[in-house]
Amino acid sequence: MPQTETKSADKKGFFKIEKLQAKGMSVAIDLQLNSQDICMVSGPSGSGKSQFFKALADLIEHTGKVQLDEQALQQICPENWRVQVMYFSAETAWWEDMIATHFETLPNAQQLETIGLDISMLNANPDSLSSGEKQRLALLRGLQYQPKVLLLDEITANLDPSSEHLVETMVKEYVQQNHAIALWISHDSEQTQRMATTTLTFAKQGYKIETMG
Amino acid sequence: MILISYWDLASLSILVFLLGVFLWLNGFSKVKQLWLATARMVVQLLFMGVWLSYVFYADNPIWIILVGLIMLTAAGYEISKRQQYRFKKLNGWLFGFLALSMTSLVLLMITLTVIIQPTPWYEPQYAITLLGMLLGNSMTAIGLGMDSLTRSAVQSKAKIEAQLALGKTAKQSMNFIRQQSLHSAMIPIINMLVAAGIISLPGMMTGQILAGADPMEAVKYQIMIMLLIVTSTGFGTLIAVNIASRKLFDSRQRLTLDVLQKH
Repeated sequence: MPQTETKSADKKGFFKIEKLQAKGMSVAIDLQLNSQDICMVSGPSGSGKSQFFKALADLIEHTGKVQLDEQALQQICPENWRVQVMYFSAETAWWEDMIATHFETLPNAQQLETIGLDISMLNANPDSLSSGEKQRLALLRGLQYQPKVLLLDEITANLDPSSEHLVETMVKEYVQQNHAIALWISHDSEQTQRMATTTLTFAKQGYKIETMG
Repeated sequence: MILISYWDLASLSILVFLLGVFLWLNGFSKVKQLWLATARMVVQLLFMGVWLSYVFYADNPIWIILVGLIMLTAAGYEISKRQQYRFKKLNGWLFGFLALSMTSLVLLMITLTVIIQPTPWYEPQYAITLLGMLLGNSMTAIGLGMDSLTRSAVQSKAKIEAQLALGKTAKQSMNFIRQQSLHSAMIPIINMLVAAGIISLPGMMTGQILAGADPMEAVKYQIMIMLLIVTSTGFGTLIAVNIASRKLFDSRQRLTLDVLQKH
């Protein structure tokens, strides 16, 4: 039975990738995702996963097509595309001296607590925080713009298991409430089990897509 | 005015030679460059002297334009040569050239036609000397500004891309770097203004006084030149830094650092 039709807000083929290839990727990738999909991406280091994500966010040169909600990447000006298809890097970067100045609107204490952070961190210097704390702050920083597609590049790599679960819950809820999509690079097969509706596995040559039952 | 002979100069240059020897004994590796630069300075100035005497008496605007162009070109080239990261194409050289001509040259014309008003207005005694002073100062500042810009862009690649990823424009993402660059270009100029008349006696004023001019008149000229230098330096740096920071991105506002080459 076509289950998807019962959920009216669910858009099929919300995010379409056709023959996308960038420097560092061995093959071009075709992939279609529906809204509320979470696609877990894995594969050996150097297989071009991060390059794939950066190409999707139009941060690097690439060939092929990407479409979000029937709109092609080329038709949208770059800053509007990137705010909808947002890349979250493994190493977060901060360009001001205080965490707070990186936020469009300041998150409140409750929002910060849901992923195990403290309000005092907003006044901290980015250099004084751990990389795990910064990864969670960077997630909040990005989600404020309400992106439609989250490109999460190993964002829980530096987290302890309990914070990792908090982040997973946050991403899951965000994706469901906003009818968004997440693509998530992770080397943790248990995390993949917990999160995936689809998986994309990179290999030396080629790739594999599986839909979870 | 008391004249100096070429022998006087030759004996003074022995000092630089000796300095090189002492620097070399203390492990300074660029002694050769120091000597070459000194020799170059002497040759260039002598050449300039010969040429200027010719141009001054020839009274033909073509020669003045030619001298001006050569000075501009050389300044543009010097700017690009002082960068650790240079633009691969002619661009880098062109930014400096553009920034200099849009500021120094324009300011020079305004000063000559509105303030000093010699006849003819392109009288080389004023035109070329003023241009030289403007170019020398702007060149240094623009070079510093561009060097700081490209260097920070390379070092802060992640910080720029993080902002792009959040949907900021290329211009917004470069803001923090542009500020730093303007800072490093303008600080020496501000220091120069603060030191003028207390710690340093500016070269042009000293020259006029040595040549027998009234100190008050020399000071007025010096103040004018300082104001011109500050203006042309500031605007020149603004122009160069803005053009260069735009050229670091492609048409889709992606940071493309491969337009730069390390030297």
